[in-house]
Amino acid sequence: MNPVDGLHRPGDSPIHRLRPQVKIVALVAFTCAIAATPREAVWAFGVYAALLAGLFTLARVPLAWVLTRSLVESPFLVLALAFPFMVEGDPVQIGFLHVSEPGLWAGWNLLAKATLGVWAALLLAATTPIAAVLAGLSRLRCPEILLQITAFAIRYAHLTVAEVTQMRLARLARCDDPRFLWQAGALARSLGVVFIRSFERGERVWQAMSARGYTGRLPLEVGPAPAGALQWTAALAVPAIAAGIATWTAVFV
Amino acid sequence: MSALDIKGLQHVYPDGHRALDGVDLQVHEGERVAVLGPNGAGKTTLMLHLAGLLTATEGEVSVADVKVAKQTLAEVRRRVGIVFQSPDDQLFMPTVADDVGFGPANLGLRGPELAERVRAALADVGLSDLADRPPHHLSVGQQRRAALAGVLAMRPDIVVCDEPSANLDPAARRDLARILQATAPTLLLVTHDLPYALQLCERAVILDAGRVAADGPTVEILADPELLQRHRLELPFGFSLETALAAMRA
Repeated sequence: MNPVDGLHRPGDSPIHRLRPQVKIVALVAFTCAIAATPREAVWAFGVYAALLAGLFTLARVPLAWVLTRSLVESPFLVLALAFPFMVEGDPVQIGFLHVSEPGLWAGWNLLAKATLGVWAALLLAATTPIAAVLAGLSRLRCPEILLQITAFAIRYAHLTVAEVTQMRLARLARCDDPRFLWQAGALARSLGVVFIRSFERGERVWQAMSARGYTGRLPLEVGPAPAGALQWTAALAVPAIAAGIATWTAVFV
Repeated sequence: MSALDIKGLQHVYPDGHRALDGVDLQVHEGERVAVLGPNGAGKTTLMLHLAGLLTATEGEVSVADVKVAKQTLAEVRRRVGIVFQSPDDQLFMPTVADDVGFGPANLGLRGPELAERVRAALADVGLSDLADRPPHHLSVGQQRRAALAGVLAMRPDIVVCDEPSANLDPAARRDLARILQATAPTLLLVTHDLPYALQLCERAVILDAGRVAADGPTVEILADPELLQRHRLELPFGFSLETALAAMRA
């Protein structure tokens, strides 16, 4: 699948059937609860992970898919692993390593919260097509300019990726060997060309839109139907549990 | 009534390039006209003027007796439906149905009325099954039909197509011709694909160096090899006008 086609996995699970707007609100609430949980309440993060695992099972999303897509957080993981060595504080010994205790906690904090946040976002992405996410955001009164930018980025990222791929193939066909560092110049120039082409395309897209009567407002409110109380209750049940745990741990741990 | 009336239209780009140098052209309601010309003849510039997307240096354009001006842009853009050469420039909404609904929604249609316009336009071009697909998953032929549906949904008085046959395989080319014949009674076909012009348009004009160099029945224009050659046009290798006309009569 093309990387810009999104992560949606078509299906008919109860989570797939929820309206996009309730899923977006649930994602934001759940992520806030994770972020608000004190890092010392290790068990709470285990409960969050178990809740997410249950939801992934319900949505029939395989574990391997979640793990490979989680690689997007690798840069944060590197940072989390570096904290125990970078942060100053009381040293503790783990095997032959001397690391700082506050650094360990900071690393754990980043690792646990980032991973859970990525998993929650993956659950939304796997069960909701991109068009529905945009429609849901529109329903939630997200500023229109942000929606327009996102919609265009998604639509034209596909073309730009295709263009870069074509140019790469055309370079390879003329005996370019991008393994060598000194041939990176060709890549840089291609990217420059892609930028100019995208800019010109922007102008043509604007002309085509104006020709169909565009005056600055996208009719994106052609959005999803409103969600009933049952939908909201179902979607917010898990974030509500998480919020309860976050409050409990913040007060008593 | 004339669907389109262009009088003395001139366009000079900011770099001094004179793309149109006094174009006069009248298209009547129910008439299909091919605008033929070599690359760089000013065809695309002319097309952009029809929807008021460029400001004329000199001259004027009227669409169904509405003069193109700043105050009439919305009305003019409803009446003129332009199908651009690259569907990628035109199809930008997340799904085909959303894109087809873009024009009518800009006209203020909402709810069931909008849905009906979208349904009818998609049925006209034979894409009802693909309404919920993202446009970039479609083949080029399907994309061009989707772009046409987006224009037809606005119920225009005149459809303008820029190189509609470019990059199409023979079957997609034939499908599109059939759909244009059925859905666009008044058509301006901007192209250098001469057989396509013959198939779809009874009248043709040659645009060269920003002027109308010839205007007449398509058959007569294509039957004049010297005229075509003077304007860097030619029939494809092996193409026989007689055979094509016999096929059209049959």
